[in-house]
Amino acid sequence: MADPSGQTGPRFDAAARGRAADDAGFDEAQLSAYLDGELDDETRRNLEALLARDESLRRRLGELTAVSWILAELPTPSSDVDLTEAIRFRLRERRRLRPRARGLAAAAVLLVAASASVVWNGPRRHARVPGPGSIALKRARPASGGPLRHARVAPETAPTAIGSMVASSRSAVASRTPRLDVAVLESERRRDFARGRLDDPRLHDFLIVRGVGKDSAARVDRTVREFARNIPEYARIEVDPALATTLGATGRGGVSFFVLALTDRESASLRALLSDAFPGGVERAAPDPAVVTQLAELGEVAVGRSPAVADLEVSPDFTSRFAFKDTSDADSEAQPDAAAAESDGPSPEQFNSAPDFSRRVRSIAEAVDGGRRDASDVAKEAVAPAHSTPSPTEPRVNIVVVRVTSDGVARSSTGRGGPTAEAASRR
Amino acid sequence: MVVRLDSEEEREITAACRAGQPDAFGALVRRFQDRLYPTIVRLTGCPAEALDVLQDTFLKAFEKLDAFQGESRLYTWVYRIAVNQALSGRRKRRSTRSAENLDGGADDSRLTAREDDPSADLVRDERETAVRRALAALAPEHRAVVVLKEYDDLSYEEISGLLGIPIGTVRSRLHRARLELKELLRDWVADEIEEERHAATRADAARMRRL
Repeated sequence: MADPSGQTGPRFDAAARGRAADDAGFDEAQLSAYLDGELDDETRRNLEALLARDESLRRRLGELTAVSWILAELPTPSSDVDLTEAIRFRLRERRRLRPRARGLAAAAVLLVAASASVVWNGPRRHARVPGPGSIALKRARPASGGPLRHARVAPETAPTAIGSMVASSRSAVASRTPRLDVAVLESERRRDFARGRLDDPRLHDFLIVRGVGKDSAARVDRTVREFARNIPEYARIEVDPALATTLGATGRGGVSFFVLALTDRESASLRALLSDAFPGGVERAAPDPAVVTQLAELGEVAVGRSPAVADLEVSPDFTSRFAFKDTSDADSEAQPDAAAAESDGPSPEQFNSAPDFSRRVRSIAEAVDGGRRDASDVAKEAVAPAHSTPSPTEPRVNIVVVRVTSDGVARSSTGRGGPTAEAASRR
Repeated sequence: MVVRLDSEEEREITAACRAGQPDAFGALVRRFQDRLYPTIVRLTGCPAEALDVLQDTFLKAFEKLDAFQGESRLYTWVYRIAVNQALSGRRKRRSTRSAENLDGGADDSRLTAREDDPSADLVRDERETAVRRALAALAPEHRAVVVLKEYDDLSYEEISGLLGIPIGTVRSRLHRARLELKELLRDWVADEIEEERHAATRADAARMRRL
């Protein structure tokens, strides 16, 4: 598989410095890309040269190849069921597809705000939220017929400039993008997820991280993402600076909210992590439920699943307008540092244990969401019972982490155009 | 994944559907269902859930048919909706099926003709079960890239477009997923490599004899 001529070829930059795989700059995902025929010629030649020299690299490639082969042996599933009648029936009935899924039934919310230059003025217990969220919501789901879930926010509030900003952003996308349908659908799905997590009035924790230094927001970001390696599903909501002020945050840049479903213990360890990272800079406050439930409407929502840090991405269709995207790990070719950081990944030990832990947490969420069992029972079971200190509160917590991006619009998405509509049909 | 619908026919079906003829839509369902099914079963890990997803997909497609502007093939458009439906978290939460159940619901192809050696069958069954379990153990986002790459053979660019994530993310996700599968299927991978080495050795020996 290695090209013999590559061994003596002139291009041998990485290998010339030593063993390929040990070089910090080597992105191991190249091996997968190589298997898939997705490397450009130069990178491929370099890699083949490395492979010719590096026994351990060859072994790793061999293992990946074996994985592919083993997967390929799985027979193609087939089904005798004909859906035609069922669908005709449902089309005639014209009934709603299904009631909107509830998020976690009951929870507390922890909000964390971080910033170098930003002061979080609210939200206070009785803060008023202007109308933009509910307007955006109405715009976003005109045909759903579903109940507006944020009715507690003053519906009589007049439309504001911000509200129309959200709305016009949508319609601009509508007229421009052939991907509209999927993009909106996708965006709505994310929003639903975030709503499900946020739309609960029993919010009790609000954590503000006051950063020092200009990269404090990025540090909070990293801490939360790192922590989220063990969380099956979480959302990030990016709120534009203009909208952020309506939430009571002032300062440069937008605000990021991280939404995570956690047990009490997990939320405690996240708090501890943040406290370690920001000594003396973490304080608690009471969030206004009205504000919190509006978040999914105010910003662009991305839903991620760990452990891949890069997994959390905001749709480029929307980011260009009013949300922000951290592109630092989106294109590893262009940014070797980011690539190196990512390929470091979790240690083998972490890697082995993460899926189990992840499954455990997921099973909590599923069991609770499925309404099969009482939340506290599930969580008690999942968390080692020997350590369970009798807690008066629910053992499960929705965490919302808020931070303020210091660089704001400067990082808007530029890396990638919209995907081609024909993409999937080519084969 | 070769799916071609005669474009004339496709236009007719689309037009008929838009005109509100559910029967025309039925024709589309019949055409697409079997082609979509394998992908969706693999994405969801469960045949029953896959049928659910497909039903919702077709209903959604029917509702949104007006938004289909004909830039892509109709199938591509429906395929996108199906994949997105399959990856939707809502369904996941609703589902309470465990990895074990996934095996039980495996698929009918297991019943298709096998070689006569029963022990070979056993090994193969065991291996297939292991693969299914391993796929089921992946996080859905990881499973998605694996399925779209390994089974539907989409390019990184196509996967990127389908999932709305950057190509770099497709690449890193896929790699991480394969590493995880490698761990989950450790013994089988070792077997496979061993087998391959034997084959290579035999081939070498044969070459030597010829010399």
